[in-house]
Amino acid sequence: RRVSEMTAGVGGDGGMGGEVIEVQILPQDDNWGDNTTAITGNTSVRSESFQDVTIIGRDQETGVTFTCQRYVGSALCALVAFLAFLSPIAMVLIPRLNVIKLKSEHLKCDSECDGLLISFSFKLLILLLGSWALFFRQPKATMPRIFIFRALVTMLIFVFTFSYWLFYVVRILENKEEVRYRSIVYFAVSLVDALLFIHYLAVILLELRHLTPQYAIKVLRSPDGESRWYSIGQLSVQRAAAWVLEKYYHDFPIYNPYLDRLPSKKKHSTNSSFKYYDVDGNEENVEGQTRAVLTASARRRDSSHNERFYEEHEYERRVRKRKARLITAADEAFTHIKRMHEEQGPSAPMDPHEAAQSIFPSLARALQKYLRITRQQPRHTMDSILNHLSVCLAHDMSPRAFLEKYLVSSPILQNDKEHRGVQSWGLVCDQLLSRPINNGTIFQLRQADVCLLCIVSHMPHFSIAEEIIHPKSNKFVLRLNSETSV
Amino acid sequence: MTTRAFSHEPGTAMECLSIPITLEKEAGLDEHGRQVLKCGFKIGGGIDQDFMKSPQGYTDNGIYCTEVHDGSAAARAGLRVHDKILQCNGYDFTMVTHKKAVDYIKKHPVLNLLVARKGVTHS
Repeated sequence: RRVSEMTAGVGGDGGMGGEVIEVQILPQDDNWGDNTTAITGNTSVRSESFQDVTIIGRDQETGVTFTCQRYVGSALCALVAFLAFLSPIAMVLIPRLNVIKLKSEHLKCDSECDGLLISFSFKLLILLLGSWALFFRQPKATMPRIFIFRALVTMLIFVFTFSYWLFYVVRILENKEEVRYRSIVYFAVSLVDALLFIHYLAVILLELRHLTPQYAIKVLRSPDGESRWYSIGQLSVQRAAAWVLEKYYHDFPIYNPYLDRLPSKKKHSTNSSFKYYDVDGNEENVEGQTRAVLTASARRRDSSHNERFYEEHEYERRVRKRKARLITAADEAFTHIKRMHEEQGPSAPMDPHEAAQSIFPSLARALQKYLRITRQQPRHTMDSILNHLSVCLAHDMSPRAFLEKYLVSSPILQNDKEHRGVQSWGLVCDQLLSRPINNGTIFQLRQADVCLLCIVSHMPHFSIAEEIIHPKSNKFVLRLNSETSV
Repeated sequence: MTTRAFSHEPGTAMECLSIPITLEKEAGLDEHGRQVLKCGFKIGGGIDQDFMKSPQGYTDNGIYCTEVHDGSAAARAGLRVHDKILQCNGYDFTMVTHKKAVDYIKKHPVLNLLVARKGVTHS
């Protein structure tokens, strides 16, 4: 375990008399396992172990290969789409730029042709705006297998563009004598129409199809048993995994591995059941004594499930006590700070960061004790606490609002350390990852010691039938129990 | 002594005309499927009930027949709806609680009733 020691100094110009208060956040050291010996594969101080090599290989979040892998799919699709976008423009411009020699009267553009050119340009503009709105963004996830729908759309675009260019070359460039500019423009407009329809298809396949909920998916987190249910549409297994991870970071509480064993005040008794034999004692009472000892040890074994109940009860009580003290301390600390225009106090005006540093010591102890009992000290550094406090002061937040970050431990994104650029997860599934999910599909996502098991089940088909209650027959009769049938 | 059978104060003496009805119960099944002897009519009222709350608009605390089932022993014996039962097998039904009336009726397999009927025994 890391031992983090941080100190905060409060300056003397705040009227505190030049005190320096040291705040230390130390991890608790009761019975946390024997971690004084480190187990590695090393045989001597100078050698490298085989274990280290595999760990080096696994660190893929920042390598060049990883960034390449992340963007190669989207880059390819973007290239094909870009070429497809430029083709109609090229088809219209090529005769104009005298690349091929056409007679000048063939190049004349009458009003119909002008109208076509205007609609052509507007359609291109709409295609550009539509693609920008939907597709110009960072890819959300890097998936292990190819993304089938995106590949399908890209292939369609490629096939269309290729066939149009083929026809262009064959029909127009070979028949230079009889071709008119109008027919070239018609041709280019039909290509733009085809591209717009492919865009429509892409919107349906990539954005709209998975929005209708069809399955209910249960996400179960392994070390602490948190679970959530969601409704999900028709997706492939890898896309469903990306979707589940989105929801995971949004809904699940932070997993605190230190809270797996509840901290208990008293030392665990090292002997749960023991037998003793009184060698030197009275021979006549031996049987009675051992029987008494055995029943006592049996009773202790029976009450081990009670121990968990009482421990949890005690722990909750202590957490609530420290939480109450923390809230009181924060309330008192915040009353020391008033806005400058509200009250002209004796001290010099300070900016939010200095104000934070000046009131922090009065709630430092209560905050430290609370963080220690909820085992959150690794998550919050001194700097982060002071930053948060100065932000809250700058925005006139109340003490409870400042404390929310330490009292509420959900969702996962509440933990600053999870705000990395890239989060890697491993996906395990029986079936092929680009197959669609079905009733009974089970897949598993893993990261370090957190494991998410996702089970897909079918949502039932609802058969709703109309039931008519005729308003005239909706009458009531008072039933008195003073009538008896004999 | 009053002759008004349909506004009788329970406990006071009364003299009036009445119709004698002999009802022989028939065998039937109750809701649990057991064999019982059924008469085939429903009674309401009693000195522990409040006649002001009766939906049939009865005017005193006597035992009234509120329903006669079709084709039952009671219909065959001549009992009609809204008949006031004055006596059953010798028991006075002008001053009984509802539960007691039910118990008396269920006691014997043949009932000798004396009923008062509006429009027949009284105008």
